[in-house]
Amino acid sequence: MLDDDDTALMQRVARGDKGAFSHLFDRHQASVVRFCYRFVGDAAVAEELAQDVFVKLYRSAGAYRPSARFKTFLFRVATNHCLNELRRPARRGERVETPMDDEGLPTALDTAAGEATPQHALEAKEAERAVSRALEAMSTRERAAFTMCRFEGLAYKDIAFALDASEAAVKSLIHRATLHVVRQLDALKAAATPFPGVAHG
Amino acid sequence: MADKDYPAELTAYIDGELEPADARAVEAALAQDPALRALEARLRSVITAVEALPHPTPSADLRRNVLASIEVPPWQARLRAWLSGPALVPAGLAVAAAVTAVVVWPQSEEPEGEQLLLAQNLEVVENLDVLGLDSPEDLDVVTSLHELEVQR
Repeated sequence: MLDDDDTALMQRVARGDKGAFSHLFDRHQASVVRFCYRFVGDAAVAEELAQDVFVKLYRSAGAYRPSARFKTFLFRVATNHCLNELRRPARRGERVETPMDDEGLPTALDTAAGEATPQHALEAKEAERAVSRALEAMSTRERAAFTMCRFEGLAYKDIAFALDASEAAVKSLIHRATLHVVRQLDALKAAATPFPGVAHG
Repeated sequence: MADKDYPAELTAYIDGELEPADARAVEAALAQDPALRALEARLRSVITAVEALPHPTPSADLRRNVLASIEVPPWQARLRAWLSGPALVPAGLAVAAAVTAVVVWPQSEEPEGEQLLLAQNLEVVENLDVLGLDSPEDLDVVTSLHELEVQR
């Protein structure tokens, strides 16, 4: 029902209803910021991009057709905007390196807070570090597909629409991207355990 | 699915994105191959860890900025971006080149129709270049310029 509701709101936005736009913004701002953050690796830039995405969404509301799920349409706008941003000469050279704190964690995230056990907190830190490094190593399309799948829970067919790609291509992009993370986790574990035989003995 | 690359199918299998027949084929392969089962377990644990990661929270400024931005007419937003952006440098060079061409022009041979038309409309062309306009929809900016005058 939520998505139907989004569609109705978007149709109102197309008629210039700013209150409807405000509702849509409140509902989806966290998703768009999250997507942009994982895409560019910088929380401040992610907010700027998210702002652009929502303004574009408002201005292009007339082009929205209810045949596409609203969230899919939104992520198509967000993906195109992030890809264009990375193509700009000033930003060419790929995703920025995520700013890290003393523990090697992204400064934008409060990762350790609320973790149930020290072991769980350690695993979460390792996963965050691995994901940050893996995202930097991914192609832009792998990164977009991975982010939409893992952080937004979009189905492969919706990601295919957002990327203007086939579902088979998306399947391959997501698999390769997931393997990037596996490799980064393995590399971090290997680096943290220089003498594996001793570590467990 | 005899020739399938099962490791490459595993992520889609875990995500529940395979057709039922393909999913059954992967399950059959998993039952026979311990290495494939180990990879599946590894992928599942990584996916679970990734999906549990925290995320940045949008600031209050974002809402304020977005709602303020949609109040600005699109042509005015574009004009502001152009006037504060680097587009003015190449536009200035283009204008300089156009002016130079016109100054040198009378010394050369008789102008052809297309060149004459360009010369007659040079003022318009210069204005477009200065603004960095490069698409038909950008003409909205020019046609709405008088609104700026009204607001003063």
